Amino acid sequence: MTMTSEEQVRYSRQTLLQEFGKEGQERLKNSAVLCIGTGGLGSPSLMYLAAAGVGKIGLIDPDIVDLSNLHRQILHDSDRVGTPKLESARSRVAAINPHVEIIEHSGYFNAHNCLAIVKDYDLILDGSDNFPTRFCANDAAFFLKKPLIHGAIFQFEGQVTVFAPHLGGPCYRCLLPEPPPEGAVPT
Amino acid sequence: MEAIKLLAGLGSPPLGRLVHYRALDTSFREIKIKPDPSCPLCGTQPTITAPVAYPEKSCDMNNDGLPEISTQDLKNILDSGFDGILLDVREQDEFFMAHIDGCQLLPLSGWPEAASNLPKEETYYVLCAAGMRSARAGMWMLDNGFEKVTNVAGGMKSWQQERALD
Repeated sequence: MTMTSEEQVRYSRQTLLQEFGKEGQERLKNSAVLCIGTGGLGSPSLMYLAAAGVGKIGLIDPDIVDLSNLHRQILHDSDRVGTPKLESARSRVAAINPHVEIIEHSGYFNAHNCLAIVKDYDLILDGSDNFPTRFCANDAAFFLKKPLIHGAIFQFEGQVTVFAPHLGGPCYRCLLPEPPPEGAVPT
Repeated sequence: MEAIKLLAGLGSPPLGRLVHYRALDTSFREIKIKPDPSCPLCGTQPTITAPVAYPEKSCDMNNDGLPEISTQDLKNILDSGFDGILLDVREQDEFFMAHIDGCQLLPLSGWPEAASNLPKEETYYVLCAAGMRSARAGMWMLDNGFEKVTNVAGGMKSWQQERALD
């Protein structure tokens, strides 16, 4: 896959990096990332991945943009309040980088559709806000041998790791075998 | 960044390393997570063979008979020299994020087995993130021979909000 001259300029500052180079850029362009959630975690991740030139980005988020989301979910603009996050995310990602192919997955990500969705991607980014979805992402990633980027934020703290048992290391269930019993849990 | 590294083939991913950032004191800590051989999914004898469907959370709670106190009252009790047990029933990763000094961690995911060795005559204050799980734990305790059990309403969320105002 060759880059246009526009793309060469667009990505020139990162292709300059010796470790990254044109090869790294080609790899990104040939990659597909599934982003579960376009909220506090999904927003910045998505914007950076799109800007950096990931070839295909899948979006899942059944929610509507709320005014109280805007201070941290920076993907969504003020004029999007009350509209589906999926549409808002699509238009913003397209504006950041028109070279990105955007796939919208409507509805929820659940045990019934997760394998069918995840199989078309190289990597999963979990920016979800609930345990059923988080466990689903982990299970699907494990069965299909896709790396899962796990992030979580709570008040002033945050954490990140990569779950990829096929490359070594644990899965999310090694940390938490089952979702905590029902009740309010910070997510 | 972790996604870009993996996709472009740069550096190494933090497999088995959970990096934890605390903005208020600008500190990073790293928690090692080993693969668990008894993991129901990736362990040596997995019990999960397909993605598991979990029900959406329900809100029907019945806390009848379980006394509650506010986190402010809890603070007063702890400050005045409490000699009972403050039981934190959150999970380990939540506990790591923040906890009250002197509390005993007993994640609800391990109940009821985990709670079976608790002395029944002690005085307990039960705490979780927001007061829901601790209410479940507290109800179980009342149903199983514990008499002096009180739920901490609002949990760590309320506790931390108050401490932020101190």
